[in-house]
Amino acid sequence: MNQIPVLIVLVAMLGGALRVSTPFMFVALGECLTEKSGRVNLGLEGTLVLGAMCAYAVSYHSGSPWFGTLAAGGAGAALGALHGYICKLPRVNDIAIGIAMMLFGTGLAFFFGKPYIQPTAPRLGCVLGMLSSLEVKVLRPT
Amino acid sequence: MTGVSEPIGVLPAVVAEEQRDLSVRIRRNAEYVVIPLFALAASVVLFSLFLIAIGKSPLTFFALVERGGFGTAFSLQNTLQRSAPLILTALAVAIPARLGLIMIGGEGALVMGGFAAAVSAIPLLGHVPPLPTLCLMALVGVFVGAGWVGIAGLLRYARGVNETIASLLLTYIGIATMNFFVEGSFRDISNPNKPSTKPIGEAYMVGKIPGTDVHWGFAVGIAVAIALHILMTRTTFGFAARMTGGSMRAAQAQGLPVGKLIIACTMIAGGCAGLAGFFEVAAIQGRANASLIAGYGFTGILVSFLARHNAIAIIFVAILFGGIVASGGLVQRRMDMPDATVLLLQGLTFVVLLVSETLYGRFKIFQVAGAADRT
Repeated sequence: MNQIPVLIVLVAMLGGALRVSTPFMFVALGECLTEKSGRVNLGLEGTLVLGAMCAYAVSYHSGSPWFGTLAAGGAGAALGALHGYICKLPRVNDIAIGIAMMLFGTGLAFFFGKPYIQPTAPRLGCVLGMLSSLEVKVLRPT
Repeated sequence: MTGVSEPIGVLPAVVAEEQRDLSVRIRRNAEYVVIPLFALAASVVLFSLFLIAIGKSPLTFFALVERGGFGTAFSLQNTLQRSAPLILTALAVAIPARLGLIMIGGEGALVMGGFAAAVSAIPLLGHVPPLPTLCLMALVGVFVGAGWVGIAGLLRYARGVNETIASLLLTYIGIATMNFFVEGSFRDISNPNKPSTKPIGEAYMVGKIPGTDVHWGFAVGIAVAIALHILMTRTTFGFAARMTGGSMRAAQAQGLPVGKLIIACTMIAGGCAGLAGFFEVAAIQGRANASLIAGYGFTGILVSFLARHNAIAIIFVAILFGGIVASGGLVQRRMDMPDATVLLLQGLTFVVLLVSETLYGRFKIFQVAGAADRT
């Protein structure tokens, strides 16, 4: 009697674990390859976010999820190549570069991803125009 | 130097030697100023090209950054307000960096310090006057932050764990710990909007510096930066720390207490970040909640690298970045660009800046004969 719910919970946990662990597997696989070269790439967070954003944008415009997947891989490869190139320069700290790439990648993703997550409503141009001229006066009283 | 063999009593020779010494020092230090400035200029140019490519005017953008960050008394005070935590979190990177350790746990220590400070105040509210309460909160914030980053230092010393990865992971644990308690046992159930601890109340907040709208955290940040600069450049502790940064094995061979230095420096770093968390709670938010996770810890890393881990330079760079962060809202409203624009500018600056590290020692103009002992 009690066994069926337990089984369901176990199967659901397994399914959830598979679903949630997929990004970890991909990121860890990538990091494995980077570490073979003796460098650490801490910027994978940014790479992942930029890849996700590219995949969404390209899938949305092309209508094919596979193009999106390809674009995500391309975006990740571009950031990885940039990280690799910078790391090969003398006296450059690969760990700090990783943090910088994390900021840069998430910045790019948030910047270009904004139009996709937030449909903008039509604006009251005239009123806003007045407000912005008011704002100038408030910020710059002279 | 060649002058060592000359007789000491000959005055003109000594004067000439001093002048030469001065010019050598100026030339050497010029490299540390010119290259970061060059990197800053290069990232401005790159970002302008990016803005032109997406059809926005870079002139408008930088004019807005100037206005939103520094142009008026209001925006300048806003900037100084935001630079206070940046000074402290940048110090949290700079002090271990002198030991050759890259610690990026400032965000976690800030969150944990701020959260602990807010929680420690709750039982005292209404029973103890504000000043002792604030002092206790600050102490709790500093010690919790110090303990938090100190864990990474201890792991580095005792087990050889990579301190960068350890401090980064401790940040995630710190944020998760605060979220756990703020959404659980310490949640203020009278506030349905956002999971927070109980507010410490207006009477218990840190006041403003008289005559301005800037809270005392800014003044404390500057004082801590100056104190740590003196500690790292004018004391035997600082000398031992810098020597350890040069070569940890050599320092060990000399009999320096490397382990104690590592743990002391990481604890100072964590204490700075915890203090930043205390001021965020006691001067800005009034309670601990997810607003503490504002990325000050990560921007502090950038500030410290741009200042080349020099505590005095950190003050000025933090004010510059406080201004860039503060102008984000204005840029968003006026140029119809996402607020992530300033994040992108920060990331780009950071990448260009780190790439510029490779330029040191490449320019003849900074190289002086007899001064080739620098790596």
